[in-house]
Amino acid sequence: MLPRGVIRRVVRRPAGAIGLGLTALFALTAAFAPRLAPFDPFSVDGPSLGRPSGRYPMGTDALGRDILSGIIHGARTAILVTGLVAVMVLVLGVLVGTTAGWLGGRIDDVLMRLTELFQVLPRFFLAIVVVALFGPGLNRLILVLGLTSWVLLARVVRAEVLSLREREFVEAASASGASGFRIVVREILPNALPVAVAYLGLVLAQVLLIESSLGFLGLGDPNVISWGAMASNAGQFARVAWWLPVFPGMAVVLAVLGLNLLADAVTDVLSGR
Amino acid sequence: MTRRYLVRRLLQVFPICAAILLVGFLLIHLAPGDPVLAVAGDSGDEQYYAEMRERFGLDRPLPVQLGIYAGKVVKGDFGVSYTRGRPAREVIAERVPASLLLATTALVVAVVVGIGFGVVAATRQRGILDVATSTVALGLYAAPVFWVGQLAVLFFALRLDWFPVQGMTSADRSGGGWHHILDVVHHLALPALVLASQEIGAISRLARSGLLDELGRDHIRTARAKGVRERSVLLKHAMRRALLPVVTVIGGRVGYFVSGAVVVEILFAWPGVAQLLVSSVQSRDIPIVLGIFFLVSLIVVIANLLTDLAYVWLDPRIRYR
Amino acid sequence: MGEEPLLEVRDLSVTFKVPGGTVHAVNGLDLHVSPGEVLGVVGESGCGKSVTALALLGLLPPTGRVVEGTAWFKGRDLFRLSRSELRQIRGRDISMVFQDPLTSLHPGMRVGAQVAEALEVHDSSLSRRAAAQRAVELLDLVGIPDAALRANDHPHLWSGGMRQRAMIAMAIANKPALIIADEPTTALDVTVQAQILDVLGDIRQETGAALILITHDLGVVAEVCDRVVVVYGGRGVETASVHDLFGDPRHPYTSGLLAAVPRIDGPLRLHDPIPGHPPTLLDNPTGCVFADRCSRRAGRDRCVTECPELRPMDQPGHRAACHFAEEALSERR
Repeated sequence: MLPRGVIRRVVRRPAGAIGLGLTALFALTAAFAPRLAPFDPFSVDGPSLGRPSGRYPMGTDALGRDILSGIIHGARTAILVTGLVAVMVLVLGVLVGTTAGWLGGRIDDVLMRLTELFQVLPRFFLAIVVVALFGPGLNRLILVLGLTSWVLLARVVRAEVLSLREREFVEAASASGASGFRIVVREILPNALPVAVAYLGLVLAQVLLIESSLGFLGLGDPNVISWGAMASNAGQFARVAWWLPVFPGMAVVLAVLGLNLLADAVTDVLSGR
Repeated sequence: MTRRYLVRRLLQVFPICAAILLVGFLLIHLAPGDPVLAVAGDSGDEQYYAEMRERFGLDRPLPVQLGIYAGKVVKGDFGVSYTRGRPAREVIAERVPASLLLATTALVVAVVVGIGFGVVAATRQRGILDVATSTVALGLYAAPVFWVGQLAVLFFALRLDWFPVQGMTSADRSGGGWHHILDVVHHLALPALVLASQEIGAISRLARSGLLDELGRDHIRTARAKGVRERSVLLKHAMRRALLPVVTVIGGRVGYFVSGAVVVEILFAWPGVAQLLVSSVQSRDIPIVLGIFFLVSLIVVIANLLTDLAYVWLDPRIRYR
Repeated sequence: MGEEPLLEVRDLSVTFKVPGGTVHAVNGLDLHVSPGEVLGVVGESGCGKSVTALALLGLLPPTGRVVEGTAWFKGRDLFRLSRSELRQIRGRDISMVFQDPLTSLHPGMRVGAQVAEALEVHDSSLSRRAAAQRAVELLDLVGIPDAALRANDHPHLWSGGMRQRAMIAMAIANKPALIIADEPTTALDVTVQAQILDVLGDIRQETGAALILITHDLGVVAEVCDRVVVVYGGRGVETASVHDLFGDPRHPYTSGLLAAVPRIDGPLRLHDPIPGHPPTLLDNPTGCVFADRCSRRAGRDRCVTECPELRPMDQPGHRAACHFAEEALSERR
């Protein structure tokens, strides 16, 4: 979705390289979690509240579960949520943005009003309401975040479409009798998509923060391992086991930082800075 | 002209509020189970349910129900909290002052410290302080507030023992008056700082870039050529418009800020709305959850309105558009 | 020039840090201006005129630095003053009018308040009301109609010409001994240019201030100035009274500039600019800065091996920096 040259120029910036590295680490950890994790994350064979050691690099929790294995498996949950939300956000954002920007007029007005609504809708609290009404679960969390996180992308894509619409190659295409749909798919989308992808990183960083915060509040899916939930387990043991609160949160920071840095670098490169 | 803009902007608030109401209403009806549970809880007897059905018109057609529900919510009637047997509004209202205290303190700290960081970074461009503040800001921007809070507790409360770990007051209530206030301030400091930290990152980044943008402008050179003091150049000439992006980011992040407040309140066992919210979700006390949702939505809408008004005040050219 | 100069700049050098090196924007420039005199500083854009003006008042951007030189003004060297001493001189003893009036005023402050501020910063005893009153008088003086009313406007409601008048009002607020006007008419319509020049001239006569007029427009110079310094590549290449400069230019760059001015008494023709571009100044050339564009050089080596000094010509006060200044200029028109 990004032209090759862009990726090369992103990697050449320190921030871009770090961002890409962290994001790749995040994705690869999730992909190979069962092989990477030294223990079964649910196994309670370790010592209770064991200090970080050679065997347990990040220590163990009160039940004797290995923290490192938990964090490695937690990456799966995180990438599942961000990945599926990314697909929904990309589809919805690009759809709304192109429709509004290309068709303009009344439809644009209506869609932009809709964007304003979704912009003020407090996503975190909406997710809490959904958990209260439907019970906790990853699927509904993904659905809520996916359905409500597309605003930024829609706006960016719309702006891009509006400016592209005026450019020569689009005018040339429409003068040569190409249909509207064809122009959008062949000429507009390939140009608008890179910008959308750049901003997607920022949106996903927010989504990850929301997901882990819900986990921290104990409102996440109880059947999967998540960094937020691991962090919340640390609560009463912080006094005696500093490693419990330190490591799960650090995983969130690295993933979010990676997505932010990558998104910033891509945006900078695309805007020619 | 200003007035016309104000009226137009104020009128935009209503459809948005209506839409948020609609979202809440739809969720109730999409949820599994009888919608009466959403306004009365799931432990009442049949007679009570009948009463609540009557009150919220739940046996009428959906559009009529929506009308009735909207009318009630607008008046602040979210139904009855079944765990507490009292109107949800009352229960929520009791918790608001503590939350408000924490949130406003954190916001003031965030604005003051964030702009301060931004000024320091902008005036010592590429110096050690600039790099340091920018790095800290970037880190704070990416860190989930619960982690910042946990680290703060580990270090400042447990290791250094400067602040209490939890709560809003100490258990012993020997002293009154000043003693009590100092006690609350002592408990407030750490959670407020933690809640402020995530905003400080965003605010200082934008204050820095806004100031640098502004300091490079011609009118700043004019001010200096007039002999205006550097401090005044910064605070009077550059700051005003440099604040535009800062205002936008504060307004745009109200949602995150309130979410962060929930996390911080839980982490520090602050007796505010968040405790109520989480316990109500766990016990499925829907009227309270929805009531808090509507309250937060209203806060976000109003914050957005205020942001736009502040914008007009800071940049007079917008008035004439 | 029996008079003691009001400002005497000697050997001024300014550099800028840019990615990939150092730009020598000004290289050993000399200039002086007497009380009440109008000095024109002329050259193409990018030759160091504006940089000189900014350097004098310590207004260079952070990347720029005065590396050498003195600027004696009322017995003090401007380059050796502390920040606060220099600040007190700015706007009180020496004031500036900038090129682009559209961006030079603060968009968020009322025009009257911006003029009043020029007074307030140098006179703490002045009440806010008195400053506002005086600001209106100043705006009236520079020809703003309904000044009392318009002083309450924000700048975006004013035309470019009116805003430049406001800039002039600010510049004269404290009756400075010297006003530096950096291309004050370049951004304006032709009709407005003449008005602004008139205002500047009137004001100057009224206050007796000296004026350094920085411009690329020799037409303006002929109209307003007493004396001229021609600047090229960050150096002064010729200085003379307006009469001598226009009547008998000795430097090929000057004559090239003169040829580029449309003349009323000559045959009508299009502008005839000097071929080539001003040097980038990334490295300091050893020879004459103008050598590669010069019509007089004719392949002579001395022009690229030895940097010509400003040396006296026949008329008193006329100096030119050309090894062959005495030769007739081939391209006199």
